[in-house]
Amino acid sequence: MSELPTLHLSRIAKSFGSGPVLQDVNLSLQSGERRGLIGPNGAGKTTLINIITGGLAPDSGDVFFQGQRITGLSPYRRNRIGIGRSFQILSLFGEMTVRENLRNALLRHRGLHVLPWRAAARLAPIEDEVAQAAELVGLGDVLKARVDTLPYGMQRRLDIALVLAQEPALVVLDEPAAGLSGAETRDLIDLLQTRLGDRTLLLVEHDMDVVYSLSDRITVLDYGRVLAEGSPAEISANSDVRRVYLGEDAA
Amino acid sequence: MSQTLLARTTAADRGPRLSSAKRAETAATVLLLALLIVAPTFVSRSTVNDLGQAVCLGLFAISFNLLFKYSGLLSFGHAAFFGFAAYAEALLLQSWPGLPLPLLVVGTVLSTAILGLLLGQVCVRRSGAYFSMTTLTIGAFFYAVAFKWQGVTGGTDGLDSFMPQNLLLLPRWSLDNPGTAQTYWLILAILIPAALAAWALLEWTPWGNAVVAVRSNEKRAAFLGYDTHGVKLANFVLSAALAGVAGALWAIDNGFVSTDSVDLSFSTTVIIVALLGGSGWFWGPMVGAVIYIAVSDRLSALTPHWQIFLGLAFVGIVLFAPRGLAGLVQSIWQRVLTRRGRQNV
Ligand SMILES: Nc1ncnc2c1ncn2[C@@H]1O[C@H](COP(=O)(O)OP(=O)(O)O)[C@@H](O)[C@H]1O
Ligand SMILES: [Mg+2]
Repeated sequence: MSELPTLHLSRIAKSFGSGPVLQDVNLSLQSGERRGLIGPNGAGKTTLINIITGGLAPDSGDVFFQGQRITGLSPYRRNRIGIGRSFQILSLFGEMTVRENLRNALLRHRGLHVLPWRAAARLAPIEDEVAQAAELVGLGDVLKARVDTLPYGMQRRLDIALVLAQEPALVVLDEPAAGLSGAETRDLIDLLQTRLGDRTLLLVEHDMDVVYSLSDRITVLDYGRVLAEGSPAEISANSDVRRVYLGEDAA
Repeated sequence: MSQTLLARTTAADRGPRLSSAKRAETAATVLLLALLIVAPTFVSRSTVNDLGQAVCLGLFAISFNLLFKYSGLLSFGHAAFFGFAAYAEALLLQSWPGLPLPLLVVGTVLSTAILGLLLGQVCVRRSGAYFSMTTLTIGAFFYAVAFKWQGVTGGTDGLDSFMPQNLLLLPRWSLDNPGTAQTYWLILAILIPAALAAWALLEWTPWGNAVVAVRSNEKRAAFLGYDTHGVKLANFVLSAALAGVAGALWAIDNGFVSTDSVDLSFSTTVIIVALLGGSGWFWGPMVGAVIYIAVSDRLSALTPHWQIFLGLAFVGIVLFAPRGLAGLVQSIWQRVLTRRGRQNV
């Protein structure tokens, strides 16, 4: 009995007014696999993430999660079955504190988010989890700080913490290292290497250090099509990839 | 973990640093409600009459602010729910004159909540100006119905001489004299628990946390698993239900219902009242209503053009005290505290 892939995309196509953005994209992530998704700006990576997480509907094709067809499911339902995502352009609860941000993620994850009373006994453990989640990404000292007053690097870490706090089976990260310093990027790699465990990862990232450090396999997207797929060694040796992507990076 | 820690680490707690603000807010709540309850013992009878109007208007403004403050939705037609409740109650009483008061109010509020559920489906799909325009249209529609459907609503004459006879647990009380302290307290006996329940729900529970999270960042909330449409819809229904309580009590207090209660200008008045008192505090709109009634009463005795002055005062508040009068008092209080703190050092 072979295990169902955690994520399976079948012949995804998507156009905007400006023309086709994704064409015939097929992608399969085995359970526990860590997949890097790279490609030049405008290749359609964020669009693909939106189609996976429910932010956009594909024009054609289907999305399967653990064997279940989820193509028409709303974002919140996909989250509840185990898909968590971060955002290329930070999207946090800016005027709330770090504590409140994590609380939003954890109350929901524990199914306590619509409790119409103060169940102290049930809510107290949440506060411990909030503190732990913050500690994990090095935000333990700024629990009380308003998020939009924090340095950018800390906001990035909070973004990841919100995703990890909900223990999703599939973690989808859209350029988590964008705008980070070298030291912050190394911290991010460490954090993901230690905290991901056996979760399945789909990582969109421009920083190749991050991609190579974290990916078992890499998919290259170019003009909305899958250009290549393989192990990090295969991808770095692939001449097409070097030309359209890595070459551009080195230029 | 100790009991006190448990009590403090609840959902609505904004962290230890702000919990003193939360405590001050609770104290202000208790003070405001206590003042409203004891007021009839030291004011004149006509003032009691005004107060009855004010608390109903205040609850209505609170219901408006439930959407405005907690969901970021500005309703331009909220009188639809207030008026619907007032008419529904009058019609219920026409059909069953012996209906006990609690049943009458529950039936009225329930039907208003159902109306909120139906209309909310449409309204909360969009936010911003679209939401406001949809509610405005609904408000206009309900006014037109009240105005034109004379056979049922009495048209411009409205519906009068309705008086709940059956007060159930209070056999010796009567509502025959609107404006008495008895009527006022009876109204408060329903109004305060309803408002307190909404306050507790939104300020102290995970549910309130969810409503605020959806307002703060709807997209992120959705990708964290919040049914954002459902959350906004439920808050819309609660807002309609509270407006229903206000309309039901207002009709009891007045003994009649007229198109004034569904008028579009009443939907505007409630916005002014809420912002006057301060939309940033749950109870701000209640403060606004008391001041609005007091000031408009005095002004209307002085000049027939009182609404112009009221409008100017409102513009002044918006310009110079954008957090309303409650916000103004709070910042003055805070300044006093910090000054005292400095002297103590
Ligand atoms: N909502 C949209 N409407 C129109 N065009 C869009 C929209 N979102 C993305 N695009 C276009 O689709 C292409 C792919 O965008 P995107 O998925 O963000 O690329 P990437 O994340 O790989 O940089 C770009 O040309 C972009 O301009
Ligand atoms: Mg992108």
